[in-house]
Order: sequence, then structure tokens, then C-alpha cells
Amino acid sequence: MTYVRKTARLAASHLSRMKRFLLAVFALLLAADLVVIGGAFIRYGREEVLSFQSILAFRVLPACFYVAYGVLLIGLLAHFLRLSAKPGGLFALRSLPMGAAGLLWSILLAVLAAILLLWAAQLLALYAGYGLYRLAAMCSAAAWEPPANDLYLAFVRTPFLQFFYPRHPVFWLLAGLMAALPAVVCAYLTVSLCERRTGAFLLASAALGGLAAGMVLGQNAIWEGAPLRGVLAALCAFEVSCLVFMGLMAWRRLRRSRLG
Amino acid sequence: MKGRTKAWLRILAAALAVIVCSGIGLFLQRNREGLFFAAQKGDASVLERISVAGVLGDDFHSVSFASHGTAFTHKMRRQVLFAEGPAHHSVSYYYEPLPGTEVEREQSVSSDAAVGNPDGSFSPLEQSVLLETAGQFLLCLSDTQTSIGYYPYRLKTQVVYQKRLTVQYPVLEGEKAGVPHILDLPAGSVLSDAARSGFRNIVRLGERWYAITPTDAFCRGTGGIYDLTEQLGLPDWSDHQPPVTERENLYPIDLEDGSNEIVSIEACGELLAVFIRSNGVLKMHIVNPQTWRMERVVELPGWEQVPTYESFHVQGGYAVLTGRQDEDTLPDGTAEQALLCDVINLREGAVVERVRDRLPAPGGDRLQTAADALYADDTLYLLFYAGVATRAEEARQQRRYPYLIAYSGGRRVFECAVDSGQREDARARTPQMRDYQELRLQKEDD
Repeated sequence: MTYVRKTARLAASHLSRMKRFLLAVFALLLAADLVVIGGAFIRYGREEVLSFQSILAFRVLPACFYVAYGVLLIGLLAHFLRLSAKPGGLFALRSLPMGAAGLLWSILLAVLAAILLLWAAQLLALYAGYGLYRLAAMCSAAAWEPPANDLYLAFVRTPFLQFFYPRHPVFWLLAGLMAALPAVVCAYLTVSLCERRTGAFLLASAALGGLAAGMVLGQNAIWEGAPLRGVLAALCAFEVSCLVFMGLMAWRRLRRSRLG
Repeated sequence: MKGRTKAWLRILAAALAVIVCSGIGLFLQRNREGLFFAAQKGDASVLERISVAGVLGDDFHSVSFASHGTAFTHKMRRQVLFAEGPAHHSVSYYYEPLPGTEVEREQSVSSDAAVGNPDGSFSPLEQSVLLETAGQFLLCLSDTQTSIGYYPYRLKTQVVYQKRLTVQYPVLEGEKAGVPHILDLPAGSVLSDAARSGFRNIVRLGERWYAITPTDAFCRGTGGIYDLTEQLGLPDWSDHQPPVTERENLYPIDLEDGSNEIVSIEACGELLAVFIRSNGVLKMHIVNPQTWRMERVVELPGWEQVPTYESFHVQGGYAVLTGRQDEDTLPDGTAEQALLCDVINLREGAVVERVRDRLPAPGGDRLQTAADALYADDTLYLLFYAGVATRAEEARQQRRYPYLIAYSGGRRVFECAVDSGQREDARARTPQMRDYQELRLQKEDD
């Protein structure tokens, strides 16, 4: 139990060191979403009432989320790679009483927590945007009462929001990979680069590239025909294999490496 | 546990709560579609005896619904990725000059074909073609609607087309290849309709696909029904002319020098309905596919001026045939249309109800094809698609919705539309318009 607490404290320590960066990313995402949604209403909504779905269909909104996700990933990687580059950084953490397992779990927990916070920030931005939209619609000259399931339809009919309200096993898997893969990549790269195994970048890049391709293909699967089914299945299998392989390699290297 | 860890745990718990509450909130909204019967006119008690069911949706999301009295229940459907539609086949003719007929041949270049550009537009493509003009053509059943321009089979029929025609064949490496184009078929001929959309020429009964030979006044010989099940399984990517094959004519129909014109074939429960126009009068032959004998003939007077019917539905031992006929011309140049509808008792082989009515235009919208029909308790229920009449609307934003009309004793007794959040899709320019599909009428006690 003590080890679990100490691992949680180590993860909290990682997050605390990055708190300004995390706060900046989340605040910028929230602000960008509100500016886009508010701007869309001011631009189009006065003459004709646009549905919330139309506003979410603007390409800027998914772009904001993907940029925030990418920046967060780069920031997390930079934080953990700095640990492996620092003389004594990772060595000191490895020598803590929790050992290799504690260090690995602390990295995984910290990254998962950061992704979870990003998810929540994106959802808050959408709900705040919807509140703003309803308020503006009420004040609008065009009398309009949105349908009762307006927000539901906006979520299920917007491609990038399939990851926030998944209704198909493929989107559950992709949403899980969006959270789990960065965590495993951070742990794997941190340990591998500590041992100067730069080839690890190749596998990590392939896994992240595969995730991006899977997300695009998964969204296209909604309206594409059956021929792409095999490609998506192969991508998902590749991603899951990468996840398992990198996780096992990170664990193995932490246990047997020169760190010990 | 130290304060810093506790603070992070609280923040994470709040984030998790946002995610979970969002999921629960959205899940609870999933069935609030708000379907209702709008613009009701007449005796609404007819709604108690039937149920209007269907699906409202698009690629992202669909909800199935069914009415019970004046209320609707609906249920969200599971999301489907890489959806595959049901198998559709169309059959039309391949025209081959009859051996021994004098044929005039001319090489030419056509720019009818088009090639797709990366931006989605099309540019004309010049193509070598062979024009063959002859007075007699042998008609072969074929699937000339294939998307890639080739066709998998040619099935020889006993029908000869006796009119001077010019057929344009694409030429590849000096040989006829691809789908031929018939240049001068008479307007209004069932063959030109067949060339455009051959779905009324083929029908599925159980696991078998049966096709008829549509004919017009210029056809001679013997028409009939052919089993195309094996031909439809052939790949359609062959780059050479498929050989002409022969099969047994299962139900020979003597064309009597063109006075019998074969119009279409429909499934009628376990039987087949073949529509034949004899000296202008439309007749429905009910054929048993087990014995290939005609069981009954139903004469359908009143369809002489209508080129073809629009829809055919069978339910509860009754077949309902609907069509429309242009009446007066309206000031905007469009024609006001009259509905023609015959209800046929399949057991007795007799028309039991006949409706002739001016089609309503709800809110200026136009009634399109009948999606389903039901005859029960001496009342005829027709469920139409109604849609915008203006052509200026973008195709993807065209809204069509169900419109129910009930007739009793030949009189319109009730009509109403089915309305939903789809109206907001149209009004608020939602990126993708949801559409009603799989519309059907059922007796409430079924």
C-alpha cells in the first residue's frame, strides 16, 4: 500500500512540475473553442439560425483539439525525456523504494491523467459553447427553439466527437488508444533514450502515425464502403501490438537496465 | 497522502465526473426525437387501426420509430461502420444486330464519356465508337447499369426488335467493348425506361432472381421470364465481351406482333405478378413459380393513358397499385397530378377498390413515390414521401418526409405528415440531412 501511495505521489510530482504547461494548454483550448463557437454565431447566426451541429462541423474545432492533443503529447515527452537526459534524473527515481514498477506506473499515471484532463477540458469547452449558443439563440431576432436532443445529435453526428461519445467498438478502441498510447510511448521512449537506444523513436513514431491514420480512417468509416474495413482492422491490430510491445519493452528495460 | 497528491486526485475526480456526466446526459437524450403527426386533416381515428413505422437517420446515427395511435415510440439503432446496402440488380438489353440483317457501320468519336478530376468535377473523354444501324436486333438480357462500364453476361432471349435503330458501341483495341448506347429509341417506350432503370425487370423470390423481357410495340417473337440467379453471381470486371448464353424461357408470352407489351414483373408473396399491356389495356398475370402456370389474370382498366405504374405493394392478401397522371397545367408550368390507385384481391383476382383523386400538395411540397400501402378494414392507407418542390435547393439539403393519406369508399378521409427534428436539420442548415427510410404500414393488431 505504501508503494502505491508513493507511486501516486511520484505521478503527482510529475503533474505538478508540468502544471503551468498543462493549464496553458487547457485554457487555450477552452478559449479557442469558445471564440470559434461565439464567432460562428455572430458571423452567421444573426441573419439565419445555424444549428449547433453546423458550427461543430467547422474544421477549426477539431483542429483546435488535435493541436492541443499534439502539443500536450510533445510537452509530456519533453518533460520525461529531460528526466532521462539529466544526469541522475531517472537514476534517482529508479532507486526510490518503489523501484522500476513504481517509476513506470508513475509515468503512465501522469500521462493518462493529463489526457483525461484534456478530454474534460474539451467537453467543458463544448458545453460552455453550447450554453453560449443557446443564450445567443434566445436573444436572436429569429425565433428558434432547438430540438430536445440537439446536443446529442451534435455529438453523434460530428466526426471528431465520436471519440468523446463512442457508440461503436472501433471508436471505443480508438478512444482508448488515444489515451493509452501516449502514456506507453512516454514510458518507452524515456527508458529507451536513457540507454541511448534512439531506434525507439522509429517505433514510437510509427505507433503515433498509425494512431493518427486510424483516427482519420475511423471517422471516414462512417460513410466509406466496405473495402477499407480490412485496412482499419490491420491498423487497429498494429496499434494494439505496438501498445503491448512498447509497454513490455519499457518494463523489461527498466528492470534490467543499467539504471539499476 | 500529501496535500499535493490529494489536490491532483480531486482535480482528476472532477475531470472524470465531467466525462461520466457528459456520457450519461447524452445517453439519456438518445431517444428524444420528438416525432409527431402534423397537419392532420379529417378523421384521425384511422390512426388507431394502423402503425406507421420506419427509420430516420443518416450515416452517423439512425433511430427506428413506430406509431401507436397518435403517439410514437422510437429507439436508437446501433452505429454501423462500413455499411453495405442490400443487393440491387437491374436488367436491361444488349442490342445485337440479327444475323443476316444488313448493317451499316461507321467509325466515329464520341465525347459522351467523362473522366473524373481530383476536384470532383468531370472532363469529357473522347472515345472511339462504332455506330451500327440495322432494321432488326436480337435482344439479350444484360446488366448494363454496371458502374465500371462492362457487363458480366449476355442472355439470349426470343425477342427481336424490328425497327431501324442506331446502336453506339465503345471500341477498345479494335473490338466492341463496354456498354452500348441506343441512340433513337422511341420516347415513352418501356425499353427506354428499361434502359434508364431496369429494376422493374427483375425480382427476387426467395433465393432466386427472375427477370422478364420488357417489350414495346416494335418487339416480335416470344417474351417471358428467365431465371438469372447464376448470371448475377458472375464478376462484372471482365474486359472482354461475355459470350451470348441461352437459358430456358420459363413463362413464354406470345407478343402477337407487338400487340402484347410486357411492362414489368413484381413479387407477390410466393407468386409472381407479370404486367402485360394487351392492345393498350393493362393486365396483371399472377404466375405460380412452382408450376410456371398462370393462376389468374386481373384486368386493370383506366391505366391506358398512364405509361407505367409507380409503385406496387402487397400486404394481407391485397396488392395496391399506384400511379399518377398529369391533369391541368399550373401557372408555374408544372402539371397538377391525379392519383390512380387500384386495390386487387389476390385470392379472388379482382379489383376491390379504385381511387382517382387529385394529389394534395402539403405546404407546397410535392408528393413523391408511395413508400408503402395497406388495405385493411375497407380502408386504403397510402404512405407517400413528400418533398420540396423547388429545384434550387441543394440536393443534399432536400428534405423528404412521410405523408399518410387514408381512403374509404374511394373518398379521402384523413391525411397527415410525420414531423420530427428533421425539419430543424433543413431550417438550420445541418451539414447532413437525415432521411426517412424503410417506411412501412402495419395493421395495429399485427
